[in-house]
Amino acid sequence: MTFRALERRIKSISPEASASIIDGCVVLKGKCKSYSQVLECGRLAARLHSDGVVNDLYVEGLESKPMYISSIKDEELEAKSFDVCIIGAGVVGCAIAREMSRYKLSTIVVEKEYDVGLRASSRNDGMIHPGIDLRPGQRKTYYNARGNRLYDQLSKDLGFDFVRNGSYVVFDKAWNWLLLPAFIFRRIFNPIDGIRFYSRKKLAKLQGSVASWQKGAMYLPSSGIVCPYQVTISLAENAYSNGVRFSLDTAVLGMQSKDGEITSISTNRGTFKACVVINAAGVYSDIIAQMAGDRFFTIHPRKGTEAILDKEAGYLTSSVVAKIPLGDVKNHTKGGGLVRTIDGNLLVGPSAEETIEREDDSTSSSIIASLFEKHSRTVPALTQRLDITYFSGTRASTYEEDFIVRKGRRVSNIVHAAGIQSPGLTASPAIAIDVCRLALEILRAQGINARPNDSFNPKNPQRIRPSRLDDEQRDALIQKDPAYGRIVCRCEEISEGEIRDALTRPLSVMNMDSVKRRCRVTMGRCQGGFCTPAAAQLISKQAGIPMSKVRKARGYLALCPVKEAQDENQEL
Amino acid sequence: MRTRSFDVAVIGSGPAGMAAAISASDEGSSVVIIDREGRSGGVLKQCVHDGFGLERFHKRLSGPWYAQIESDEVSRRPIEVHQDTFASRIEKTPSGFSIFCSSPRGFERIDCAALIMATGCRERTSKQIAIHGTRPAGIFNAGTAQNMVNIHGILPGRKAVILGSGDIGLIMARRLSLEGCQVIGVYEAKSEPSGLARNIHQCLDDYHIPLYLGTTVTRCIGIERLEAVEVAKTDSSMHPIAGTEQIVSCDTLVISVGLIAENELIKPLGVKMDKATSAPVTDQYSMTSINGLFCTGNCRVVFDLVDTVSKTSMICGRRASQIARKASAGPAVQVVSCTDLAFVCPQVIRMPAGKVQLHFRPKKVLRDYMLTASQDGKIIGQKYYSVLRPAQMEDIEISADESQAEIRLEGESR
Amino acid sequence: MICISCPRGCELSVQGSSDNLIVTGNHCPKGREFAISETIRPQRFLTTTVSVAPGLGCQRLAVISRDPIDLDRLKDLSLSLKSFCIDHEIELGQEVLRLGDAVFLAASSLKKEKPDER
Repeated sequence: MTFRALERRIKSISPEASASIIDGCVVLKGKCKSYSQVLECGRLAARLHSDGVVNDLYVEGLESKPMYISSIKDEELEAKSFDVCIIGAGVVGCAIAREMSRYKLSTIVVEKEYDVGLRASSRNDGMIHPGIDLRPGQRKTYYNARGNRLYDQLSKDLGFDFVRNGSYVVFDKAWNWLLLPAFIFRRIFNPIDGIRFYSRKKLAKLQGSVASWQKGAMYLPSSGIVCPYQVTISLAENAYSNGVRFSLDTAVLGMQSKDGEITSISTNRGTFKACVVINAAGVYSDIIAQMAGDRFFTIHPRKGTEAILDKEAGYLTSSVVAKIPLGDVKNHTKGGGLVRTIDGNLLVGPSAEETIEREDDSTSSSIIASLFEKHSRTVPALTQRLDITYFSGTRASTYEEDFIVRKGRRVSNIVHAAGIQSPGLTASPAIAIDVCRLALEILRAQGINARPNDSFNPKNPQRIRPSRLDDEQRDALIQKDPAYGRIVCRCEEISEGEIRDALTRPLSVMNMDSVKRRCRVTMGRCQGGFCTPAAAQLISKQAGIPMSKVRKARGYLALCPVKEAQDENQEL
Repeated sequence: MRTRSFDVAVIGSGPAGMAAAISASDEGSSVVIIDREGRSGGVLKQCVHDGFGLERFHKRLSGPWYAQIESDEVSRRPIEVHQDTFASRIEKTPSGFSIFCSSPRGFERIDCAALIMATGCRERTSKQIAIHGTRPAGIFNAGTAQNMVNIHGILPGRKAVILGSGDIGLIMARRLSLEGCQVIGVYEAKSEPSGLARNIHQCLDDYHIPLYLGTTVTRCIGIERLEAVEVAKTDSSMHPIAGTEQIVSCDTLVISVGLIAENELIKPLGVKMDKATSAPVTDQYSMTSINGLFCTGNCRVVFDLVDTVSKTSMICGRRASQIARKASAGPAVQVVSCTDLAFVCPQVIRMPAGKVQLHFRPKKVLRDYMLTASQDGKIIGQKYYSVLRPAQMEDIEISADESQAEIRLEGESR
Repeated sequence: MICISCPRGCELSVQGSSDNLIVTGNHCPKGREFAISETIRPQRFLTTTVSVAPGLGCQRLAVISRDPIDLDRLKDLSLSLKSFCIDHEIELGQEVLRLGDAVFLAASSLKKEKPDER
């Protein structure tokens, strides 16, 4: 498409919109009638293959909610100075932090949330993708293939759970087999290890729960599964132990630059300097780029919802069962499917809906119902009855629908790791290696030669999970430390010792949800119905605060001790 | 790893477990109770309200009082009580069952000839009833809120909405009011209250708490702490009606929308389940389809009254003791329910049975109702009810003779 | 009115003047008693908890009023009990505190923790 053709088509969508080329990027300005028009214009602009799409189209009366900023305000970071500042503690930011910790540098990670990995990094299905659905030539494809292979070593070093349980891409129509040559051809450019094709009969034997009318499947043994927040937390813990500073509840509010170089970064916890800034801000990465004066892309958040089923549903599959991703190309999801999580639950989803809200985690019953409706066509035994909870998150998608991993275009000391949506979890270790290399190059240009960190320890302290030990080992462990014998969370069989460990590990955060993500307490079928008060009591003891001051996540779990209720009511 | 052996093992030291242990011990068996909490009593410990024991002790006891009476009875007998002990898994052995337990004392195996599950039930969660929206702090199951107030002494919030008019929801409405929390209202998706009529009177009316029938909570609003909920009217199938949404400001949502019998530990053993109760099929002695495996109290069927739980569990304990000493279970006869009833428990009767109580709930309110039990066309039990409500569990006594024919229940409104 | 004397929950109705009340709908004498007291002077047992000093095995002690208490006094009494704290061993049913004419009994026992326990 030519620029003239684009201009024409934009005008035909919305007469009040206009397109221009500024510094190699397509810039869209003006007004649209609906958000879907905004998206349509953005997608058209991406087809021009410019250096990026800056979509500033707006819809009158339609505004997204402001970014959540912690109420904490202090001077913690005021006038400090760092070699490297990573913005965002998602899986990408934390993987970069760990790579940077291999060098003798002062590195800080700033994160606006109260914990690491709270946004898309914990709101996904945890699949380590084989990459079959990715187009050759994309950065996604490149990083996915490299990232996938890094996971074996990474899980050994960091002690997170990882298993290559394979995935089945089910052919629901006989003509799907005609695509076989296309898949085989794609492998030439997009190496996928060990791919196999199964007939209908073989599929029925291997995955009995798949509907009998399905016509066969492609099996991808390199597909794996992790717990996504466990990965993110493990990376952060390791980076932290190797000297990286994490500043949580810290939102970047602005940046000051001079001569194409960022000189300082302002946050709610003070203004500080950094030689290199790494933009790993997820759904806010275009806004960070804008603050830096280096915006050449636009994030349009795409929401996904997944349902979590009871472990009882785990029998439906031991791996991943997905449909062939054809009808969903337009929606940019892999079509979703059933994913057996690393902890034995079953995930159903995800959906894909464009939204103007960057942080919309709310769920709706219609979406959940549609997920079950859709996937029960592949696996008929799927039932909403075993649903224990569900979650939503927003993907940081760009109009180009590809990752951005590069130095700044106009700013000399920024590296962008942006637009990272699925398969970002798989790709993050590979992205981190490249981002680290780019950051070191920038530092070198500034005359800073980073030396290796001799005391770098790639390993994390071991996680103790009594319920995974054999009976004799478990007994021996409890004899040594009785806290591992006292079970607090009955659904997930989590002991007091494990909760204590979660509270004392590096970079621990003393609230219910953070402890939950670190040791799975309250994550089972009763969803904390029984163990919430007991876990809150352990947190209150460890943190030295009264139980009424224990937070769920951002807010207090309880509002006051019973005996104070009266006095406070009289005040009201 | 330590291994111990008993005639009868009981998992759970609530009212059901304690009653079963007492009667099994009195019958001459060696008995162990395995309880995951630090103190016996189960959920009764947090039920500080009164009304327990009216049938059994003819007194209005509070929950902890009732529990203490039972645990004092337990301690007078040669029953071993393992507190802080969690049953991790159960295996079937040729001579009975092995329970693998975790406690601060170690990981140990307890072998028994007969096993009584008295694991109670858990509450359905907000997610299971399609409450959507955001996930702020301030959303609790009624039992969790009760535990926070009565065991830990912390108040979940200052302005609460209660969803579900089951007894726990009603009792929490009163409890929170008494502790100085403002209760805005109790919302119930059904057109009939789920709790007992007397609880509506003494928990809501006494404190001027409104009850909104045919209305449910559909959405939570709030970032840090709950700020409001969206409520909507429901249609006859309990689905929200579009256009009837209203926003109710509150900082706490307490959910009391039903109980699920806890049987995950024994499901892997292949025990036969009843769809109507979502619990194992049991006979009149609370024995499941597996010989020697019993399931009593609320994990068998969710009862209204602790008195009934104690009574049925006593029968269970006695029988478990006999089965442990190789008594024969006897031939089983099916109980066939009728369409008016939500469930009947027990689902099978072992012959010869003599006089047996069948427990049931109706699916909807029935008035002037006559229920008849028959075997081979012969009437073996009949009872008239002026009114039957789903909120109230009822029973009928039958006398089953030696006949091997199935027992049929039939009823009609007169 | 609904009778709260037992789980049956009879629907009672009361007619007549205070010196000659006629109760209908009750299935037992308790129902009649309840209806009369509810009409003249509604009363309830008060159940709540009071705080417990450390070292006695739990944080709250459940208590129940020995006698029924006037309905309109329940809330005030319950809030007044918040300042009480039990710091000694208690037997089941023992009188633990007195607030005016209202006497409260312990609904469970309290025992000092043994040093080897938590």
